[in-house]
Amino acid sequence: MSKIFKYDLKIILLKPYVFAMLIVELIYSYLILSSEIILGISDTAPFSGWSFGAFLGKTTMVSLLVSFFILSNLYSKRQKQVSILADVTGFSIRKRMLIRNVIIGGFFLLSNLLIFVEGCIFLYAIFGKIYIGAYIVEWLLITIPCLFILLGAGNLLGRISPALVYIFMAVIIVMAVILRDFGIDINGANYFEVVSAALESLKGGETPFTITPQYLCTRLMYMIFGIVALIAVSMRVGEKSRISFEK
Amino acid sequence: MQTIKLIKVELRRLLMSRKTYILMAINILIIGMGYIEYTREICSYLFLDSGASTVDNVIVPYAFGTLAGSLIWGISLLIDSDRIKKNRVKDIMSAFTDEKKLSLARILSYSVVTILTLAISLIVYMPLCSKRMDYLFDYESYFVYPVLFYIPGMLITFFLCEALYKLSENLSVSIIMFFVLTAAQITPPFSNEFFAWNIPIFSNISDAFGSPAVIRLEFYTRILLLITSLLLWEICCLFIRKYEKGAAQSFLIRIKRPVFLIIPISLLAIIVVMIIKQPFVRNSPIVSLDDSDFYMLDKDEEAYYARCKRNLSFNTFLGTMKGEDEILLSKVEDEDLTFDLGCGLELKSATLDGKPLDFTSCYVENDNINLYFGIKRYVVKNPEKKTGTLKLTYAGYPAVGRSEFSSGSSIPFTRIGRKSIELNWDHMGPRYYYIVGPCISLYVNVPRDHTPLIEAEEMKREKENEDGTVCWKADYVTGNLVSGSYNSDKVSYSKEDVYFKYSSKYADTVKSNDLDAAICDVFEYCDKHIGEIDKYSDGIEVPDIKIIQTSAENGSGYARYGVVAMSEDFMSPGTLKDSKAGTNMNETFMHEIIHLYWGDLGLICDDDGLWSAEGLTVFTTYRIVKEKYGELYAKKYYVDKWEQDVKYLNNIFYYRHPEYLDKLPDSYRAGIETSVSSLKKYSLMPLMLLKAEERLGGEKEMDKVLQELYSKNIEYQELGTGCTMQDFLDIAGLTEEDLEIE
Repeated sequence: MSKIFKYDLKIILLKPYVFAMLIVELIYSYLILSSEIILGISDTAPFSGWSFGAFLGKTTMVSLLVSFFILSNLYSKRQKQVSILADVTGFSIRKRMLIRNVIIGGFFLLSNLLIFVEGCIFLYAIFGKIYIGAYIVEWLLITIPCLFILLGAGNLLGRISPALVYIFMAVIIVMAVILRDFGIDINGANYFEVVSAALESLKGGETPFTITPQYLCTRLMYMIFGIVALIAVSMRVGEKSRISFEK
Repeated sequence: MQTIKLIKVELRRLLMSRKTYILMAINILIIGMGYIEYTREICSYLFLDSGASTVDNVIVPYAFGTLAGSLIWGISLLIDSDRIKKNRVKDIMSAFTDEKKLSLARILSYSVVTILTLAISLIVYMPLCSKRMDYLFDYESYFVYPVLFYIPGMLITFFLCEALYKLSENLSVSIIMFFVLTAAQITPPFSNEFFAWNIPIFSNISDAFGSPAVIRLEFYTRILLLITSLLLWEICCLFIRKYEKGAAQSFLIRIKRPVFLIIPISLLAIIVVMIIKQPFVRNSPIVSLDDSDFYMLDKDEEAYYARCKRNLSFNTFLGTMKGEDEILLSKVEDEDLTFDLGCGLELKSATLDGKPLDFTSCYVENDNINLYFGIKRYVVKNPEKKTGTLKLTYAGYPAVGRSEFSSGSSIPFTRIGRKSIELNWDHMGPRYYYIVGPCISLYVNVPRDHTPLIEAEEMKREKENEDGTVCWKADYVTGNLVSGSYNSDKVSYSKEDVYFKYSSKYADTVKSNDLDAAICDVFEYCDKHIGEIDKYSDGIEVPDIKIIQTSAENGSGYARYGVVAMSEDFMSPGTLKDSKAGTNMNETFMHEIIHLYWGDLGLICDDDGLWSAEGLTVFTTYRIVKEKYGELYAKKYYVDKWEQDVKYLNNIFYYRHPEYLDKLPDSYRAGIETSVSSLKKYSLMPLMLLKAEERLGGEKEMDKVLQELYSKNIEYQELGTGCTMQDFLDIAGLTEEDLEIE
C-alpha cells in the first residue's frame, strides 16, 4: 500500500511543474493581497472577514484550477496505457483511486492552507490585527466544498473524457468572472465582494461581517454535489468499469 | 549557416500551411475590431481611455491586435514545438540537427509571418484610419506606433513560448504559464510600462505635438523586455533534454561547459546595466504630494550676482538637453552655493573663473514637493568666498521621480522632440534660492520651424546657429517653455484682450467651432458673477492673459501667471463630436479659465485639504454649465456626481480610520491620500458651497458673498496669506455646522 502511495505521489506530485504552479499560486496570492485586499474589499477593513473571504475565494480558484489540471493528467492517454498494466497486478482499483484522490486532495488542502497562512502573516505584519476564528470558518466554507467538487466532478468527468475536465475548468472561470453578480461561483469569492458592496450601498460606513443562510446553502449544495459525484465514481470503479477501461 | 537553412525550411512550411493564412486573417480582423466602439471600451480598461485621435485610431486597434496576435501566434508556436515530441521524432530530429537552432529558426520564421501580417494590416486599414483622423492623420504616427509595439511584442512572445516549452516539454503547462505571464501584466504591481510585454500600456498620446518621450520609453522597454525574453530562452535551452536524460541532468551537464554560459551571462549584464541606467524614472524617495510643505533652508542669501546668462540646447532625436549658466558673482556671503536641479538633469561641472569647484548633491528630506518631482539639491563649494564668473554645466534626460511614477504619471511634462519641446519649470535649469540678482537672460536653441514661448509669451529671435537651430532670447524669472508651430488669436471680451495660442494643426477646428467666442463667454460670466479680473499673480503684474494649448500627454491643464495651459484633448474631433457636448474636456477648458479668478490672478485660498481654489472653481464651472445647459444637466453631471463621490469618500476605510493609514507602505498611503484629497477638494467642497447657496437663499445671494470674498484678493495679497474657509463663513454669516454634509 505504502509503495503504491509513494509511487503515485512521485508520478502525480513530485514534478517540477507542480512546484512551479504552487509557487505561482503563492505569488498570485501575494499580488491579490498587496493590490486589492490591502485596500479592503468594498471599503471594509483589509483584515475584515469580507476582505479575507474574498482573498481566499480568489486564490482558491487558482489552486482549484491547478488541482484540476493535475487530476486531468490521471486520465491522459499515457496514464490509461500505464493503468492497463497496473490493473492486472491484482491491487484493488478502488484503493488505488482512493490513494490518488488522497494525494490530489491533500495537495489542494495543502496549497489552500499555505495561502491561508500567507494571508494571515501578511495582514498581521501590516495591521497587527486578524480575526482567526472568522478566517477559519471562511477557509472551511470555501475549501471543503471545493475539495469535494474537485474529487467528485473531476473524477466523474475525467473518466468520461479528459477534455471534459478542461471544459469544467472553463465553467469554473465563467461562473467566477462572468456570472459574478449571481454569487454562484464554486470558489465562493463573489459572495464576499457582492454582498459587502450591497450592504455598503444600503447602509454605508462599517459593514458588519455576516454569512447569510443562502451562502451556506450554496456551499452545502456544492459539497453534496461533490460527494454524490464521488460516490457515483467509486461505485462505477469495479471489474465492469475496468473492462470498459481496457477497451 | 544551418539556422538559415532551417529558417528557409520552416518558413516554407509555414507559408504552405493553410493554418498560417487563417491565423493571419484572424489577426488582421482583430486589429480591425479595434475600430468598433464596443471593442474600444474593452480596450480602454487595458490600454488607455482617451479622446485623442491617435489613441483611438492607431494605438487601440494595433495594441488590441498585438495582444490577440500574441495569444494566437504564441499558442500556434507552442503547438508546432510540441509536434516533434507528439510525433515521436524528437530523438531522430536531435540526431541531425541542434534543437536550439531549430527553435531559433521557428522563432524567426514566425516573426517573418507576423511582420507580414502587420504590413498587410497597415496597408488595409490606412484609408479607414486616414478618413477617421482627418486633418490629424500623420504617416509617422501611423507607422511608428504599431511597429513599435507589434513586432517586439511578437518576438518577445515567441522567445517566451519557446522558453516555456523547452523548460516543461509539456504543451498544457506551457500554455498555462503563457496565460499566467500575460495576465500578470494587468495585475499590480506589474501593470506598468516596464512589464507590459504583449499588452502595450500607454500614457496619453498627442495628435499634434508628437509624443517623443512615449516613443523613447516604449522603445527602451521593448528592447529591455526583448533581451530579457532572449535571456530566458537561452537559460531554458540549457534544459533541452539530452538523450535519455531528464531536465535537471541535461542542465547540469550543459552548465559545466563555460561556452554555454557566455551568452546568458552577457545578456544578464546588459539587462542589469539597462535597468540601472534607464533614464526615465529616477530613484528618488517616495512621498505623498498632499502632505507636502515647501521646505526652505533657514539661511540668508549666499551670494549676489550682477548678471546671469543661461543657454539651453536640445537633442531632439535623443530627447536630452544640456545647459550652461554663466553667473557673474558680485558678492559672496557663504562658502556654499545652493540650487536645485530638475529630475534627470545632472551637474557636469562647476568652475569659478575657469577653476573647477567641488560640489555635492542629495535629495532633501521633508522637502516633499521636490522629492515628489525627484528634484535634487546641489551645493557648490566656494571655500574662499571668491567672486568671479561661476560656470555651471548640466545635462541629462528629463525624467520623473519614483513618487510621480508610482502615482501613475510616467511621462514628465518635459518632452523634447522634433515637432515640439515642452520644458517644465523644474527642467528649466538650476533654481537659485539663495543666490540673488536680476532676471536671468535665457537663450534657447530650438529647431528653425519652432516658435518658443515662455509661459505663452513670445521670445526674441537672436540668431541662426550653424547646426540649423535658431537662438531665441528672453528675460526669465520662472515658467514653462513651450516650443513648436503655434497660431495665435487675439480674443477680445468686454474688458480685456486674451491671446489664444494653439497648434497650427487645429486652425480649422478653432474657426469651425467658434472657440474664440466660447472663451469670451467664460470671461464675461466670471466678470459679471465674481468680479473683474486682476492682472497680478504673486504680486507680479502679468502683461497679458494667455491661453495655450499643450500636448495631450499633460492630461489636464493649469493656470499660472496669467497663463491658462490646456491639453489638446479639449479640441480633438472626438471631444467636439461627443454627444454629451459640454462635459469632459470642454468643461476642463472652462475650469482652467476660472482658475484665473479663483487662484492664479484672483483670490488665493489657504489650502487646508478641503477649502481650496479647486472647490470654488468647480462650483463656478457648475454655475456656468447650469446657465448654459440647464438645471437638469448640471444636476446630473455635477451635483449627483459630487454626492456619489462624497458617499464614496465617507465609505473609504482609511478615511474613516486614518490610524491604519500610517501602517500602510508609503506607495499605498500616497495613493490613498491623493485620492481622498482630490475627492474633498473637487466634490465635497463644491457640495458644501451648494449647501451654503441653499442656506443663503439662492444664486444671487451666493454671488454677493463670492463677490465680496473675491474683492478682498488685494488685501490677501498684501498680507501674503490666503482666504480661509472661516473668512467665507464670516462673510456668509454661516457656521461650519451649516455646511456639514451627511
